[in-house]
Amino acid sequence: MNEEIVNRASGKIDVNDFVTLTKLHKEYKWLSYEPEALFELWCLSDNKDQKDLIEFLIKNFSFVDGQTLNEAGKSIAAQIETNWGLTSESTFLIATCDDKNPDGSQSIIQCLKNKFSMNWKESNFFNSLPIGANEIPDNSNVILTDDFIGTGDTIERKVKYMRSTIEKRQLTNVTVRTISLAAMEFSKDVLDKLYMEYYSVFWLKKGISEIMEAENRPSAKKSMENLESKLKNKIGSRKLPNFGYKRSEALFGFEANNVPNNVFPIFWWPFYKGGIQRKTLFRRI
Amino acid sequence: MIELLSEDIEFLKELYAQNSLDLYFFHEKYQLSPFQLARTIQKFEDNGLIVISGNQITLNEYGRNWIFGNRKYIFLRENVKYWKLIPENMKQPILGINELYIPNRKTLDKEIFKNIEDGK
Repeated sequence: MNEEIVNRASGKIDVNDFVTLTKLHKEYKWLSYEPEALFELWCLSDNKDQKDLIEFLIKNFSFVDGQTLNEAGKSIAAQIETNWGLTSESTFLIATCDDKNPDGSQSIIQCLKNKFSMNWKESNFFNSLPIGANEIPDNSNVILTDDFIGTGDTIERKVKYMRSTIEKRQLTNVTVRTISLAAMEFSKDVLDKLYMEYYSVFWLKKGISEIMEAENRPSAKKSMENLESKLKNKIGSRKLPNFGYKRSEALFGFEANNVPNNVFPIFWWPFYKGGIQRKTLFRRI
Repeated sequence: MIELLSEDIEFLKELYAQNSLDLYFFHEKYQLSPFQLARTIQKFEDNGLIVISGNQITLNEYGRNWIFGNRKYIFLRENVKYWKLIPENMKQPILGINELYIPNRKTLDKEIFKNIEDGK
């Protein structure tokens, strides 16, 4: 656990809150990466329903740490080599990053490289979609690689770009597939319509609308609306994505990486209403 | 040897004296935050010194012997007092032996000299 010297509690905490928070910290190591953030999140709530909701969401959060990521990488490599039967001679993994800014797809590509058998080389991996799309040869298998698929909109756009580039280059025998570390289950509707094989290590359900018992959902949604109402509505041109981008209700984080905007903003939105900065469990640039 | 923070030492001291305590005790008496207490508990649980049952923390026989065996290291060593360390950029040159301290005249409060002259 984080061994840095941290401040003691600034005031007296209610006994039930203290016990709950201590147990959460003990059970979920990722909460300790930002030692004061959980308490600050807890303070956003002003009744038991809201506290119960925060506790529920934390307990159902999928956080991928370094060790899990390593195992996930092996699972992706096994899917490609064993289940799909693809070989290094004709297979290319391409990160979905398509501009100058680094993103999670490049992290995944980097961590996947050493999970394949010995005959795979650097040339099997591309860290940029435009470069990969314009350099792959005919008669090959392309695997678009991303860290997280939320609504499916982004991957749909990238697959379409890949296919149109293939067409423009007049390549006749290229098969496109996608892999991701995690994906929302509801994105399958979009992925299925792309008529391709896809694989994700983790399939995630919506935090309130799918994981929670049906009878508790209306009050949980009300509680979340109340929690979000305490956050700043707009930062520059960015608007607060209520319940996550396009109400994805995602509960997913990947160690040392930007959290997806599909995640409930109470976990990462950096300002309270009034412009005061928050200490958050995750950061996003 | 386990690296000990100030809250770890308080935790061991209280458990050695009282054997079993509830989680909230450490917040009430030492104002430990939930993170601090969780970290301390984890440290000593991983090392097999304590047992947690519900909200109760109990020192086991091994833990009691461990504290006694390491009492000098735990309670008598000079901890680094991080709040006493002066940042390098704030340090002044060290005075030589028999050298007198000369204050910076520009930064002195001149009011005091006027008051002396005025006999106040």
